[in-house]
Amino acid sequence: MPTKYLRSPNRDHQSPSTSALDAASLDRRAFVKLVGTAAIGWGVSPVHLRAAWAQRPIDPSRLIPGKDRRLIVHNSKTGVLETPVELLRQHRVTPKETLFVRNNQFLPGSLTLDPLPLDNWTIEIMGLVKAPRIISATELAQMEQTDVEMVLQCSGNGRSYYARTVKTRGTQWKKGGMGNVRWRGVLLKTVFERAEVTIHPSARFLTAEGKDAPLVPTAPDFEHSVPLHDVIDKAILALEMNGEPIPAVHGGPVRLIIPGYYGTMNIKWLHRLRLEAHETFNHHQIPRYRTYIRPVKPGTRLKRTFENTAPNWHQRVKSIIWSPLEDDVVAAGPVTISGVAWNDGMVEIEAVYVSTDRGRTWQRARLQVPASRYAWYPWTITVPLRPGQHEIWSRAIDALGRSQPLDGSIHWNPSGYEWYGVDKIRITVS
Amino acid sequence: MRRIFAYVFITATVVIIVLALTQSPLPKGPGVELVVTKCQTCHGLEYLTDSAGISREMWAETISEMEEYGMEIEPQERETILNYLATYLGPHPPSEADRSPHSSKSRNRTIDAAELYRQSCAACHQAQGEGMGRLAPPLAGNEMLLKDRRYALLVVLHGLEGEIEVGDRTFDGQMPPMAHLRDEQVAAIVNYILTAWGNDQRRPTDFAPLSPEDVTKARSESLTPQQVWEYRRKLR
Repeated sequence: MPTKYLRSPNRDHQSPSTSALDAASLDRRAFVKLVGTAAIGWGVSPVHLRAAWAQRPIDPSRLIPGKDRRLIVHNSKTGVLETPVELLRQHRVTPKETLFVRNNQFLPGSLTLDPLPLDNWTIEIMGLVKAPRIISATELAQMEQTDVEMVLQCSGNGRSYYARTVKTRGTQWKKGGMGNVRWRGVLLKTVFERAEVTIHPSARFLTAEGKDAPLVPTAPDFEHSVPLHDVIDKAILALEMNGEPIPAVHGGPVRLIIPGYYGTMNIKWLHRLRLEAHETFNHHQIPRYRTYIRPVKPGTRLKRTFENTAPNWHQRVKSIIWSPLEDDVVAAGPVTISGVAWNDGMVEIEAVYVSTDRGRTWQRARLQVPASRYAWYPWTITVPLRPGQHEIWSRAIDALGRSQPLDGSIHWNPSGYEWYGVDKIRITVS
Repeated sequence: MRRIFAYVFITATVVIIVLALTQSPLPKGPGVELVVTKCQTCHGLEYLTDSAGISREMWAETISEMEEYGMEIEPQERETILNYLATYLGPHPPSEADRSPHSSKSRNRTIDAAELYRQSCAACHQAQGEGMGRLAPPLAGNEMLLKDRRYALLVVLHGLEGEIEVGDRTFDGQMPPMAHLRDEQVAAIVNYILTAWGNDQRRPTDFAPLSPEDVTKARSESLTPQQVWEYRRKLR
């Protein structure tokens, strides 16, 4: 079906036509001002008041209406919520009510599970292209749609385990900064074809920006770059999550979804795509969201450069145990251990091994077929356990032989990203 | 009956606001107010308690990162914040018993009004009381402040919400109640504002300085930010 695309006359963000298109949804400057006002107002919302009155932690279901009240609140201002494993393990596809939330910035009206309207939402494609384009979300909705089920994981997930050596700053995620979610949208390459975007051969990176803004107007605006050649045939501009329009808090109406990549690269409230010859040097791309290429002694602080670090792009091979839970008491005899494993989707997960003797011997768990190469692989194994204290370890390995380090702190980095050490829990068998 | 209900309702609302401002998950210690003010502008205080236990160097890096995100602090404030974080949220925080002498010491310290203004007000009203954008009106030469000596006190204690005009400009920011400050501190700040930047030349000669007792009394009035706005409207 022929679709008419709006042309952006130049690359200036404040060009008249761009502003006119934006005005109907959210003018950026008005938005920054609005947030500034809210920031100065100390952020004392009715939710905070209620929590203060009751002298108990903030209720996540009031912070983000519709969220399960059993979620863990890590930041009550921008909305950072973790899914406890007890909830995570209940569903093969994580429902929106329990899916974790991690927001760096804030878009007014987005702290809700309700969707934002597609109308008047546009995405600008610019940079190293023959002619910049502006496409609308409604045009996207009319293009060929692709489905993908995948693990969405915050690159800080598991950060708290680095504290076994040297604690790193930031949200102390345990295992629940992740979920397994179904997305539906238009493949990036389809968007480029349909919008007749001609990319210059020197373009090597795709830099994405959302419509959200920093809380303080002078701060660097969140954006990320990903390697164009790697994402062009798998990234999608998603319009739906789990069969519904994407909830506002999860980045709708349009979110950049890159299967296999860490969550942070999946830019919410997608508003602009830039094709560039180099990764952005925005603060959120460097030094944030990077790990050292060479292992360092925990506690080492080394200036992070493009040369000595790599961005949080491909997810590391990982498995987690979600039954039993840490400190559970189970009956002696055959004990069923279960969990999930995943990687970056480049190749299959080949096996998950479980040890009940701190790594001396390993037994192979039974793997279930995942819904897609990017989704999680549920696994289960039944082992005999005698009464006493036990440690259970799990370790995944993929077809490339990539696996999890026995001591995850080998990957220690100052911001505690990409924890993927062998999962270890302690239980009591009675 | 209805009046009693309204009274109870308003009192409860104010109590809740004060609670929200004073209830903080952070341990008490020198500088905690500055930490609350600066950090909560952008994120919840959970972010601090979550990281409790990291080293002084890591807290220093964290502060630098926050400066990247637009936090504006003077070198001296940076030192205060870092000392607080590295001590109370550092690897070896003092026990509850160790803490009490510190807090009583800080309580007896003489109050530096200019410093208090800089910490609590200047982020929005700016160093010379010149105000900021449409958010915060100027305090230097602000006629409304010089018309009624109680007005500034009520705004500091109870906040102000609603569109206002100062000079030929309109402001629609929200002034948060600063009820977490002690009576002596509030009195010092208001007296400072009413005399600084040439305000002492413009105000009526019968303007007596406010005492902590005046603050105690005004605090007990329990107004909402909207009621303070009403109070202001009647002054015009």
